[in-house]
Amino acid sequence: MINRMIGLMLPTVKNPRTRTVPKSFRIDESALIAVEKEAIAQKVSTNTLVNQILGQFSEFERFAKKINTVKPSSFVFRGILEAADVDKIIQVAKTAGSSIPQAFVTAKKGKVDLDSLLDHLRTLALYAHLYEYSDTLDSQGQVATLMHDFGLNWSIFLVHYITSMFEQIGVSPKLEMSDRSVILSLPGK
Amino acid sequence: MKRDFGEPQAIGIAIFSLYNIGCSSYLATIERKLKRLPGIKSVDVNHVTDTVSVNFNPAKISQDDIRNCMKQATTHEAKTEGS
Repeated sequence: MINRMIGLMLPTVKNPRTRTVPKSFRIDESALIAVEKEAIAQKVSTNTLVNQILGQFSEFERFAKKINTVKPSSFVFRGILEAADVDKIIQVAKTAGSSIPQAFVTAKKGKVDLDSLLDHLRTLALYAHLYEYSDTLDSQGQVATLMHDFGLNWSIFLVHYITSMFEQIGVSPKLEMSDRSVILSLPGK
Repeated sequence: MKRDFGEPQAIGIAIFSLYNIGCSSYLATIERKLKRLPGIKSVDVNHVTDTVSVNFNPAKISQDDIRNCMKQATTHEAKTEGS
């Protein structure tokens, strides 16, 4: 019964926007034309696309700008990682992991706990393309897999970032890595 | 009255990037194909971030199965467009 309850607590990846409301705005005509063109190209309604654009802002961008986020292309990002010194990567990862997730999660959720930090990892997959994310939860515990193609240095960064992130709440997940993935295991509650 | 909840059910979440799968214009096809698979609980495609988020039962389907289905869907769609 307890395990069943834990299982039900795993959030869905879809944002909990279960209710829609009508709202009127005046917007620039050029912006509307651009969105309508994109909606046609993507074979989706303008309503859906506008909702997803606003979702990206409300779930990620408004918090990301507070931590001075920049967006290099994946080519540039990969190149910088390959050229970087491993000791420096570890140092940056530890510093970032002990501060950035807390700032982001506190602004978004109002509290820092296991669920909000795991949500942070999902958010980075969904909106920042830093890796692909999967997460399974059963009676044995929770296993999250982060897959990417940024090379070994990115896995090293993620391992130290995640370790420092969870240290802030006194949790020590088991971490394994390869040049394409990081696997994070948390024992069952 | 005692309620029977059955065996605890495993739950899985996966977030895939379309950068690694193929053309984002095939999102509708991917969504339709994924929803037909056993063990898939919900599929949410995001046209802004080019991601596909899937809630699934890991006892019935794996992340690799889902990824393969997405790749097959895009490959099939590309062939159909090309013919």
